[in-house]
Amino acid sequence: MRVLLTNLPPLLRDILAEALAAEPDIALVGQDADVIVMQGSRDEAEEILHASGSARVVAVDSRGTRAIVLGDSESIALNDVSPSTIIMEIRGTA
Amino acid sequence: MSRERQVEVSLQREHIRVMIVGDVRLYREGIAASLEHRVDLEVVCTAQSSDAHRRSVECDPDVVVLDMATSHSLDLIREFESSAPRTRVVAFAVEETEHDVLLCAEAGAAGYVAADGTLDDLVNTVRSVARGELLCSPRIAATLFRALRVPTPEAGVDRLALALTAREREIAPLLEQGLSNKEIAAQLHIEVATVKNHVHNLLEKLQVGSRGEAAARLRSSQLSHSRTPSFRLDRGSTSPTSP
Repeated sequence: MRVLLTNLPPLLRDILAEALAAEPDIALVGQDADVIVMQGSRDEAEEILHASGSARVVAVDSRGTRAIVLGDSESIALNDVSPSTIIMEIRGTA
Repeated sequence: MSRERQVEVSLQREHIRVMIVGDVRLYREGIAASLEHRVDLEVVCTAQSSDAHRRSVECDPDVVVLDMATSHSLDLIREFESSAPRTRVVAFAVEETEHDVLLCAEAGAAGYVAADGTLDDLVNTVRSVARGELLCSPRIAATLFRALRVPTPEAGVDRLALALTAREREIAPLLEQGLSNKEIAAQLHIEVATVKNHVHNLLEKLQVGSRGEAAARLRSSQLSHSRTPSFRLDRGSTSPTSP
């Protein structure tokens, strides 16, 4: 599974990159991702989803407490997110 | 055991014992997992702000990594500073303005990581404060130097002066000369009871038990030869105005 981390604060980007690097079925890429993880609003996430052609976008809010997951036919709101819940959402197994 | 000795003993441990404090789970758990990958760091516990003090007592960390987005984060730093002086606090997600960095420093933080800092910045800062060092930009270093600027002993004032009110600084040289409360009151045109209060406070600040000890301490401090009011940037008892 190819994952792109974008528009994240440097510390959060590094934390997630290390967490994802430990997952053998996940590869960090610079483009053509299956899943995009970003920081931003729902509108920004929808824009990215449509523009990128990725299957799924996980957008974390500015505080880092909530996230929304957008796919072709799904929209999930998450509270109190952790690195492990983001990994589960990347895989679509939450 | 002195604080310096305690720190030395701490540094002789194989790992730097780190505690992560923050109310945002994503950062708290993420930082903990990332720091665990460093061979010289051991994450001994994590906590939310409401539980931070109790957990720190249980875990005895060398370094606390504190998310400044946490509620009452400055108060938490002060609590760590007073209840666990051996533990050093690294504040992260600090807006790198002079104002915010000074607030952290005044509260007792040993280091900080700016809001746009990376994981490497955080790791390096933890290692630095464990060694008793500070990583910061030249601009912030200059700010800290300006904040710490005090008149030198050669100018007749030492750090003790910073802790005293203007009236206490007036009374100090008279105390050193051996004047009684009544004589001091007459000289300064104030009530004897007022002098008693000021002398009591002076003895406390000098950490001595008698007027004789106070006089000796004042002679060694050169404070008694100064009339110069001193100031400090923080909110302390150093108002130049008389009480």
